[in-house]
Amino acid sequence: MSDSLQKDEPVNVSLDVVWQGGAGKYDSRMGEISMDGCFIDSMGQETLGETISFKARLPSGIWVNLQGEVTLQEYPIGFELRFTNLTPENRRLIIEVVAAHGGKQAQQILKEEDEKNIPGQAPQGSRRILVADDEAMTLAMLTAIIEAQGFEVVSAPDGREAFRILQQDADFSAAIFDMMMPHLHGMDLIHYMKTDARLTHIPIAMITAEQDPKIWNESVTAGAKVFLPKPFSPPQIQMMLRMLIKEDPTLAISLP
Amino acid sequence: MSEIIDLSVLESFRDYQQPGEPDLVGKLIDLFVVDTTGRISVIKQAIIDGDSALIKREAHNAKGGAGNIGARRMAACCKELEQKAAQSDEAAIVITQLESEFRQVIEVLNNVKQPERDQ
Repeated sequence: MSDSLQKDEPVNVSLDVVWQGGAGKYDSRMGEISMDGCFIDSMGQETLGETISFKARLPSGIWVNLQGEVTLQEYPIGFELRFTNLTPENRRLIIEVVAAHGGKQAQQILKEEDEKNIPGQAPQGSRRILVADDEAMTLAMLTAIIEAQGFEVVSAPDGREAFRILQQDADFSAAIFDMMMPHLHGMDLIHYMKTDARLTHIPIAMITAEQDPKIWNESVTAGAKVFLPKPFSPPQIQMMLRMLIKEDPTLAISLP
Repeated sequence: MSEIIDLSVLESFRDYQQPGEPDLVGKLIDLFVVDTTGRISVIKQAIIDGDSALIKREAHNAKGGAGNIGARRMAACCKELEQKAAQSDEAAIVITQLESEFRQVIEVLNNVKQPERDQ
């Protein structure tokens, strides 16, 4: 399958990206994407071979964290990146985006993978998700959507309660945190989880009404896998769950 | 009415209603109203106390709730308050607008809940 990825043709897209270059953080657009890499429209001059961390907003509205190596510089139009360190779930999401924009090979790969996977197959192991948000309505919304997907929700009304739960209980398949909560913020929880060996395997999603790309980057850098801005819709939450739960290595997602 | 709140957001949660459970949309509305009432009260006191950090935090959280329930104009008002948290005179004006906006949202939401009570 890796051969087919290398030969993949790019498709035209228009996705928001926020990326970190040598001279700072930039808001740009992704103009092309293939399963192998992408082209970012930017006037910046990047160094060939340099690795760039960036966030891209998928058509579903969800931000994903990606990384790529600069393989072509076309100043002042932009630069091309080849994806590096692609996680299985991000690889799948990129294939979905390419397929949705008409990529034939991507469509074929999706078809093959869907045939391999049993539809509706539940991930093995824990079916519990920790959700922390101090807005009671948002917490109830998230709970309703997540429970409808067959998960058990353990909810926390603030960061401190989430911290207490995590100190005693590591049996979660994912954690979803509001960024700004009383006592302990979502970012504090991420930092804690990344330093406790029992919790490092739990994929984390961050949700926030904060529109500042700097904040998004901080949560990404800290270790959040998915970033979802408020307001969100039920389909966005479902997609966020899919992205998080695919972190589970027992899920039958084939890698090349 | 659509300017005040986009009801399609709440309607989309009808799909998540579990049989035998209390009305989900009604519960979401109640939680929103209680939560936001509390936050507005905290913000008003914070304006009196000149606690701009608290104004900013509570306005930010109220913005998230308003946005999620589809009350975009109210969410915009919260955002304005968040931005003007440090200017007490400005904040005092915006909180009045926010209260007025919140009252209108509640009025619409009460109409949404009404049919449920009649059943």
